[in-house]
Amino acid sequence: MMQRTGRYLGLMPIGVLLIVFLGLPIIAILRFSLQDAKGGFTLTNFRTAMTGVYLDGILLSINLSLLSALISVVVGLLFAFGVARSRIKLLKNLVSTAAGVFANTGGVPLAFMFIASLGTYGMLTVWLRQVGIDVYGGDWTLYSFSGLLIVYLYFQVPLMILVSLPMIEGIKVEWREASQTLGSSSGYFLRRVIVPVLAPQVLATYLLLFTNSFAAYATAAALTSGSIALVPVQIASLIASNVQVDGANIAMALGVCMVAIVAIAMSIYISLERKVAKWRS
Amino acid sequence: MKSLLSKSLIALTLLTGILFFFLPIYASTIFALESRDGGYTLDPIRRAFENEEITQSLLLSLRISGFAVLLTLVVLVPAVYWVHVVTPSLRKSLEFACLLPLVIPPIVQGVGFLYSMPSFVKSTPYSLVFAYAVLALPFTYRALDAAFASIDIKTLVEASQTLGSGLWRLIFRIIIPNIKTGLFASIFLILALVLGEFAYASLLLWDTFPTVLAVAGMSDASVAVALSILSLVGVWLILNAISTLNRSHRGQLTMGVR
Repeated sequence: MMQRTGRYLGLMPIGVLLIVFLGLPIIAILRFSLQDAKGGFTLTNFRTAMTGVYLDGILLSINLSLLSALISVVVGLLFAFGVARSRIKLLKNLVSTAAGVFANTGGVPLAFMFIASLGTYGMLTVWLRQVGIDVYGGDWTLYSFSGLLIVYLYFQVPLMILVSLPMIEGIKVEWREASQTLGSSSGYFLRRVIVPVLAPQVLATYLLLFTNSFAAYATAAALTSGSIALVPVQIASLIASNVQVDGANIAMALGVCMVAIVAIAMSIYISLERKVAKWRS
Repeated sequence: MKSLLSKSLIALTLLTGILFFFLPIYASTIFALESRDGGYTLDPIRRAFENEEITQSLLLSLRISGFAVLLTLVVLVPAVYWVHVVTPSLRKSLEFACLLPLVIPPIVQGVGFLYSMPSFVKSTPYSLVFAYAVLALPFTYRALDAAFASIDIKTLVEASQTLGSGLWRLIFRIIIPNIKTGLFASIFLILALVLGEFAYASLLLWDTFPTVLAVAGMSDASVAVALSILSLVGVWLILNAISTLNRSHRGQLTMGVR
């Protein structure tokens, strides 16, 4: 018995931290999501979360994340290919440092930077107007779905570049030489070697980018002040306002839905990563 | 001919990239610092640092990150040491536990925190210390695990014990100097996270730097934008410090501040 506790001694502090400050909050969310305003058991919150404006919010969040991840994967991969193929080593280093930095940008400062640039009175908006391009001439605003998408690309594309640089460098020159020696064209090499090698890694990164955007809250909150009803924004406003008696319970149900979606994406991501790691070794 | 085409394509991509990433920085700097008469002034920055609310929030965020660093050192370093020296079979379990906060979006964690903590915990902004230590775990764990993995810690510990050094000597003379890069990376990671975290702080209604910044945006746009740029540059410098410390782990670093 003594031996058993001794085995876990060094892990106890972190265990306590995780149980109290991650475990208890998760249990609270699960419990409240299954309760009505009076504390009785119910599944209504999930039914509410899956209909009407809340369903729209979930779909909007999923759409934004799918789209921003897709654009970032395509653009980031092209960019990374261009940089990885260049012979200038300094360029590669600069790009990967810059990508590392921009990939971790976000939140309120990023939103304000874009408002000051592309907002109604932003500098870029003004400059573009001076050369005859009025970005606010049509229906477009920065505080819309596509505006938010542009802002998200500011951290999504660099993340893709960051992850795909080592991925592309993993393609050995010898493979190309070998396939050329065996008489294959570069198109064949691309289809039969590069695509099968990169596909699982690219798919894994796609899921990573999806989660990255799906879980984001601060940027959207600061940019649109709640006018784009993504799930995290809806959760926050349900908690902040006391308009609905069961508002908090619905927010918890939405939270459970978010966790479920992230968990699915992450578990596919992990199994893909495992496959890649096994295959590499 | 083909190489010229591909070269100009690469140049074009790079140019677009530079425009997309640097134009907003440039434009917003001009936005913040342009005065009414068309010249430039550092007045918004002066106004920001004269604003009591802003300086107080910045100090609060710095204090919270200091305590979060202490908590992480006390709780996580022994745990990572433990799975590297005493029970290597538990290393995978520790990794899994430390990566868990990534699966729960910060806004959801924040709501759970709000509805599960007793009021004496929630009544002080320093309760955020615990929340942020947990939120940073996936990143601090990786940094520390990499540091421990890069040295043969078990042999070092056995050697120092054979030579008769005590526990304190072991900690301060053997372990800490050998995992220094991991420690510094963790400190910077926590600092960057705390200076940007918005979801928890806004749900719990605490005036940390990001929440005060968000409110400042409504009253004084140039101050808010100037501070945003300063904080972005600050975080970029911190991140650069991390990637110089941990070259091999640059690719893994992403933070939960969005």
